[in-house]
Amino acid sequence: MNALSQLRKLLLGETWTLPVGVALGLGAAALLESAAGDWWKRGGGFVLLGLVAAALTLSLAGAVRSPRRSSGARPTPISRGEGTRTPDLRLERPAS
Amino acid sequence: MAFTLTLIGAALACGLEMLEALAIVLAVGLTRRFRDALVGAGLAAVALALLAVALGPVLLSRVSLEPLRVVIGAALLLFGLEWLRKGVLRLAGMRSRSSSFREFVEEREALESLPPPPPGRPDWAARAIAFKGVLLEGVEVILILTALGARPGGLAPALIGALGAVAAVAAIGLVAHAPLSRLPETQLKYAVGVVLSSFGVFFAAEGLGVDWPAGDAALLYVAGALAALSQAQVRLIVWRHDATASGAAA
Repeated sequence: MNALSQLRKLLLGETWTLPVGVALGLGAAALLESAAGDWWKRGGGFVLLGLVAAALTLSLAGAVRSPRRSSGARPTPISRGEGTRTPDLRLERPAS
Repeated sequence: MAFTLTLIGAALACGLEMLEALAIVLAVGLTRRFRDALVGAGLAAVALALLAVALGPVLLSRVSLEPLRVVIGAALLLFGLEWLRKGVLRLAGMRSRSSSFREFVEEREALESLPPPPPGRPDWAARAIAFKGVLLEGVEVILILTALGARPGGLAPALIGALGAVAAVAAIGLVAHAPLSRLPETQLKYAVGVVLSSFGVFFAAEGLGVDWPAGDAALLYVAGALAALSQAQVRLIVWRHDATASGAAA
């Protein structure tokens, strides 16, 4: 069961917002393609990009609204930090 | 352009997932026995190879080109946007940073609490842990590589990128831990999210009849737009947090 839920998380991600957003975005784009005229050929990509951007923004809306950091989260954003650098702990074989 | 971006995307996605698998195999090998860790990892590699052989031809021979592009685009969007979302949260400090080294340490600590392997007999617990770890990380690699490689002209760069990544990860495994702890995994995963999402938008739009202005170079401005949007999200989240924190302190 644990492996199944991990597989579901791996395929669909941790939130339903993204898979639902992608499905709705592609569905809307398909509808627009069939309804639109010639402009779709040149501008349809930007419409789809906008829909995808909206899906990403919606999936992050919770984090923007209630910015409470999770435990263990690194407190410094990338713009002020120097990247991921963990201590160089040497790994040793356990004594047999 | 598409060749280079496919190669980079495949190499980064494959390399980062394989690093996580390597962390699990190293943890199993160091705390239990390397032979059992390698048996588990080898069995998972066989299962993944079978999955790749089954998936690739099904996609290439059964689905016609236009719907195939939409399917590939949707798959890449699902993976790419999830990597991008996590990347934004990590860069904004809302989620702990990605670290195969930390995963290694945690896995090792968990394994040390188990009873020692029976001497002279197969250690099935260790084999199962290594198998599951490599399989779960590998499934995502196979799906991403299949999606990147299924488009016309995409197979060669996807395979070259993946093989390069496997060689690099194997080298890291041999020289071991110090490189594992120094990789900026959070930033690399964020970059993979941008690349995969860009490919997703690009292919899906092509499958829906779009002719991108500037052809393959559209990948660059789509990637630029997604990078700009996600960086804006990072800054917005950090700004909101700082505003809340200073409001609470006042």
